[in-house]
Amino acid sequence: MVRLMNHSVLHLENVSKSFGSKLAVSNLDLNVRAGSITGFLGPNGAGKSTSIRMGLGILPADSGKVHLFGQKPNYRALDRVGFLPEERGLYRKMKVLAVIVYFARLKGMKAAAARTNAMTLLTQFDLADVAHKKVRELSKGMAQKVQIICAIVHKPEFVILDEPFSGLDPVNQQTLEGLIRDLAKAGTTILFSTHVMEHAERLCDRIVLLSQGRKIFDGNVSQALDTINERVILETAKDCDPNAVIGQLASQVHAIEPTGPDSIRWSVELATGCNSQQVLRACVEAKLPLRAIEPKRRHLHDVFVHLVEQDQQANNRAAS
Amino acid sequence: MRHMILIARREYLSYVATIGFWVSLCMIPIFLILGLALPVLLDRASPTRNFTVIDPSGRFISVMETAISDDRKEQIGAVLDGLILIDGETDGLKAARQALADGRSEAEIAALLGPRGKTTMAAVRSDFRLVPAPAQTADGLRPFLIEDKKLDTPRGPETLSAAILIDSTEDQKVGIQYWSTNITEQRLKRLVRNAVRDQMRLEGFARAGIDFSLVQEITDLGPQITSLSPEKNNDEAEVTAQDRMPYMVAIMFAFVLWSVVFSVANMLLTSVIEEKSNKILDSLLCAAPLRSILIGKLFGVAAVSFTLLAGWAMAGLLTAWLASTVTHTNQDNLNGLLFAASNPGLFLPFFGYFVFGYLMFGSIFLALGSLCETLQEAQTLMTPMIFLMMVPMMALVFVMQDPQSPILMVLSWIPLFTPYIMMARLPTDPALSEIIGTTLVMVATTVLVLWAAGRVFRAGTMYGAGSDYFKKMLTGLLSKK
Repeated sequence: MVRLMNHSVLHLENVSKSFGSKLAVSNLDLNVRAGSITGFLGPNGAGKSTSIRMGLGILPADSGKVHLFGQKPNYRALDRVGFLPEERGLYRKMKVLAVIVYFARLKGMKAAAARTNAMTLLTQFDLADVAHKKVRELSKGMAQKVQIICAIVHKPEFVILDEPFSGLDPVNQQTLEGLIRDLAKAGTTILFSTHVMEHAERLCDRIVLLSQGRKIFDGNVSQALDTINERVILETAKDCDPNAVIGQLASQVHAIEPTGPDSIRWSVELATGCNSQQVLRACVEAKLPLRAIEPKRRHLHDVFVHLVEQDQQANNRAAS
Repeated sequence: MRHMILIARREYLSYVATIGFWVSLCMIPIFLILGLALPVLLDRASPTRNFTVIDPSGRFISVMETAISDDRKEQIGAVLDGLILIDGETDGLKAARQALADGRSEAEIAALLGPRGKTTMAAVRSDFRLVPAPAQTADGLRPFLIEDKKLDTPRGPETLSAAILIDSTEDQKVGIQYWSTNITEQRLKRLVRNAVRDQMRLEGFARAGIDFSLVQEITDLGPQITSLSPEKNNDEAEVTAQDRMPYMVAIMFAFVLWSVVFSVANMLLTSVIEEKSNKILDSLLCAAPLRSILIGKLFGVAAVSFTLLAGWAMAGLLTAWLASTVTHTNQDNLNGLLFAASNPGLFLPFFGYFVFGYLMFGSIFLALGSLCETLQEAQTLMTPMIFLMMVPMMALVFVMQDPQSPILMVLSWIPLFTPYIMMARLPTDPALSEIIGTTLVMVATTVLVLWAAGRVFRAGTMYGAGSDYFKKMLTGLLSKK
């Protein structure tokens, strides 16, 4: 099937939702482009699941517009979507194959094709031998894999996975990562929410960060990493304070702080545009007894913590 | 449509494709037969109780023997009356009744009943047997009464259940001592008291010079009532068992209706709670419209109820056929029952009332289920509903006594009760305006309940579970979207 890339699959336009007095989502703009893997990140209660449910039309938005495949969410459009909800479960008394076929058929698949696809995916997930067992006989991890299969068995164009990695062991997390990559290679658009930044960093070509119902970041991973400054770790001789040479480094660093009580390792937060080579040169020029210098790699985790903290502080300031 | 059919099919199979469903269905004829036979079996399980009378004056022994014999005659009469109720007054039964009144022997009565005579007479058991006293004093009788000693009878050693010691030293003052370990037994005590009282009166009348047989004759005077129907020709106007059949069938239909609606409404409640507690609803909501989920569930469980009805009907027919074969009752009754049950005047309203009764209670239970996450939570909301559902059940008891009672007429207009009460009242020919009026109110209410239940179901499924049921209910009902 030929798919138009870069058109919008899901578009939330200035969408808000409140539950009583609590504002769950505030003026959110989210545009998921076809063929992308978008990470939907945010702390607990940030409004990720509410936004996803609004995007699927499960929950009506209080204001704003929602477009799924260019139209208001409807069951023709939803047939093209695979959804793994955050709160997940299956019919415990049904057999594994039957429950997968049931959801596939609800999405418009013929029974025979659904059965074939289901068996292929069960084999891929090492679950072929439980196909005729009842769901209640499965372990939690197995049941979660079955639920993931239910979400993708009908070969949707757009897959939404709400916290797909939670509850899976590292091996199965890797399998799921592989599956997401395979789906993306096949042209499937993917939107997933997660708390584990490593998955988002490895998989996403775009991330959207939500905090307290508001979008605080929207861009690719490298843009996200650029929101925090680079750091280097300096290791000096004992009783040597790099702050003594702070004068020379002043234009290149934001802060120098010891990383431990022995004051021989120092974390140096670099100014924008500055790199570890420039710091090394400055240290040499200042005759700092340097034992080692180690550039510290930036991670999405740090970006997440930094941006969320920044947002919360701003909010607290505004509140006070 | 596709979603609705798939959801209905899954709902249906989740109940019907279980061994438990079919086992319970197959158990129904067994329970029905047990229900019918248990009282008889329990009665027959207790042996005939021996009692003895110590009457030094000798005035009351023969009276006691007559009382026991009359008691047995009374029981035979009750069995014959029961058969007349089922079979109608056949020639054989009329002749047997007359023979009993004439004091003819049990063998002669049995012969008049034909092939079932033997089994019928065997079904009549004697509760008490008067035996010769093994001792003449209370102290002498005590070991027999506490079962330290057994009576020596032609049937082998037996227990003495009671001893009656009559003290009639004074002519007009008689004292009776009733000795027994069975202190709850009242029937024998009453039988003895009445027999002695009658004898005392007889003697009293004799002393006063009044002919007791004349007194007896006057006491026995009474009218003979014949039930006649003005809707039949004069020569066939007598009300028969066949005439009573539509009333019995209508009440039976009303009970079945109530039982089915109550059972399947509970199924809907548990089904939606299962989906909520197992967190299936979000997956389902992403796959099917809310309306399809609601209607699919209602249809699926309705199909379960039709399977139940078919099963119950077959079980009922099997039980009726078995009962009539075993008891040799008239096969015409079974035919009459089938004829009355298949009468479109009862059969079609039954299905109409079922549809509306089911939709009303089913959608209410479905909506309540959507507000809860566990059965414990649901119980809080269910209690008032159960009380509400018990009202027509209690009213059906009154329908049997007086179908045109003003209270029943008022209850018929309450839409939640209409299906059951009107179903039971239909053979009594209520006014056409009443039938049409109650039906219109019921249909309008069903539409309203379905709309409201849809709203509440939507709120319950969207906003998850919690204890703020009424808030969710109001949110659902008042929401503009």
